Amino acid sequence: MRASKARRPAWAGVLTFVVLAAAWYALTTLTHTISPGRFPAPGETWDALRQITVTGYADARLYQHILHSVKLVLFGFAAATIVGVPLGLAMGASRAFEAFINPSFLLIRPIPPLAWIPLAIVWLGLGDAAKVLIIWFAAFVPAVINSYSGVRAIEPHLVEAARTLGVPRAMFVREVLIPGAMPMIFTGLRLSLQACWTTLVAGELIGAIAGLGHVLYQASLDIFPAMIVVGMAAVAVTGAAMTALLGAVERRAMPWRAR
Amino acid sequence: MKRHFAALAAGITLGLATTAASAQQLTEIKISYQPAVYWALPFYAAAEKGWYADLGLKPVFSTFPAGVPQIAASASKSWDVGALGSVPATLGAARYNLLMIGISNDESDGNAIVATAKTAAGFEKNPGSVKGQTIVLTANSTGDYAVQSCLAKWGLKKADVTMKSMGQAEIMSAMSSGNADLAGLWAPNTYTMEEKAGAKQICSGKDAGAAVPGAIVARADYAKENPQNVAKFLAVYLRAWNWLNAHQPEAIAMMKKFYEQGGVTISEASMKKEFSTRPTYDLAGQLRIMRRPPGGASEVDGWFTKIGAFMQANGTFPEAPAASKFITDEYMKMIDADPKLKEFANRSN
Repeated sequence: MRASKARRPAWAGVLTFVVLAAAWYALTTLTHTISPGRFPAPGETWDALRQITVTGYADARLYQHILHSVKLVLFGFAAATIVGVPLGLAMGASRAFEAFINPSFLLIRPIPPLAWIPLAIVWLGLGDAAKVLIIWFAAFVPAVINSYSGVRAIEPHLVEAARTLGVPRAMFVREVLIPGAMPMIFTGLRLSLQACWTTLVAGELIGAIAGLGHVLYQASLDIFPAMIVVGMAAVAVTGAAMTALLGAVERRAMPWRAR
Repeated sequence: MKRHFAALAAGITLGLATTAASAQQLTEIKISYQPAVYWALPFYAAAEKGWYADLGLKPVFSTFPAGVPQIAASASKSWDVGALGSVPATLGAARYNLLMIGISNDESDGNAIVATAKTAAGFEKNPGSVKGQTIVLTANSTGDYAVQSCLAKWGLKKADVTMKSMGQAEIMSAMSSGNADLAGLWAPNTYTMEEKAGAKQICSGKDAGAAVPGAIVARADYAKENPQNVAKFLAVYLRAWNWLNAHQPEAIAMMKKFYEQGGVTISEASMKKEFSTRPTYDLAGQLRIMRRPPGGASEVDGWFTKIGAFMQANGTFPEAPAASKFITDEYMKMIDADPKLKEFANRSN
């Protein structure tokens, strides 16, 4: 009884996909309610998938585009995590540091990542570094905010107890601050990862030679709806896989939460 | 006093009625183009001169930053006729059943590889040194076609260079900031880079033996339902070119105004170069290049077949549309067969 209850959400998800696929087939192929110029039929999408997988599209094959995008996302995400999480923790732990950093952070925060594109080209050229910078800008903000909120959400009596016991600073950070803020840090990292993928297409507008954003851009220039769907599906699947991977890391980092 | 009011009221009523009547006589036609490009100048000139109204047309213009959004807008019937580059025109034929009804100009010399001032001489001296370089260009455009034709002329393949795709404005920004040495540009951007950044055109489509025409297009369903309007639109376009070519000082002044409206400022020398390097076709010329010998292909068919093959090689579509399926001289022939329309199209005043 308990097992069937546990399986129900998974089945519901599968059922959603089945219904959507059936509706897609019915509206495009069976009844032609939606013309191919507006949304591709499953057959056209399959042909586009075969084209990009076998012969390639936008100067590379699908796996090469995926690997290139994953590389950019990982670099941008890693850079955002390395800078954003410690910054957020420090802002949360120290009022003085927060007072020093927060005004600048509040100014930079509302600037859309895409607005940095012209400057990124001037500063870093047309290579991957400019794209990573754009992705970094998108991922950096949630990493900082959630790490900061994580520290602020730590139970005050835990902080007081550590201070009363005279816990050294390094041990306090390692044993109280980071574990206490960890749930919010991971929430921030999940948001950062999503921001990386949503900004990828914009990042890859900067003279990309490969990548899923480049595929989407090229397919839009070719008015190739089937290839756009393939590109979007590839972003969705790869993004979901990376989010699942982050979830696994989260469960390992916080075993008490998984239980 | 009463008589004065009555007269005034009658006058107003008559005026309104006349305006309404003349407005009714004009048939609306939605024309699309891109701002500040040579082949769109006749639209501007004809509107300024009032030639559309002479043939009972009321033009409603819409402009697009590039060919792709322009053809995408045709799907929602946002426009009826227009002009654009030959590459997007072929894409429009494949995706949205656009008809190619004429050639706006021969822009083979206006699509080119441009190099920065410091590198141009080296590349010109040794074109083989382009191998391994990065070329920034707008993918799947007439500029891309010219670039790949130049590479072929130099014995290079697409894989021998790195091509990075971006919009024309971003390309000029990348070149100006020293982030790119080679670019695929089209006029008047080529002139802008030459004048403002000292860049140099090192190979054009013409140099590479590639014909890069500009296309005049119509939505197939509109053309089928309104063939007379399409023929009249073409007649106005042809007359405007005749006038522009015959009255160059005035045409240059008009071009300056038109380009400035589109945010482009180039020298008078460059504007004159537009006229001298980009031939246009009058009615007889259009009929000649579009004429198909029995069972054969026209000159224009040949140009577009090569462009289709280029796009197919780029992966744009699995099979290029046959030129004979989307290129038609039917509307040019309609002008030729109608003495009044023919006389109008051939006027240069």
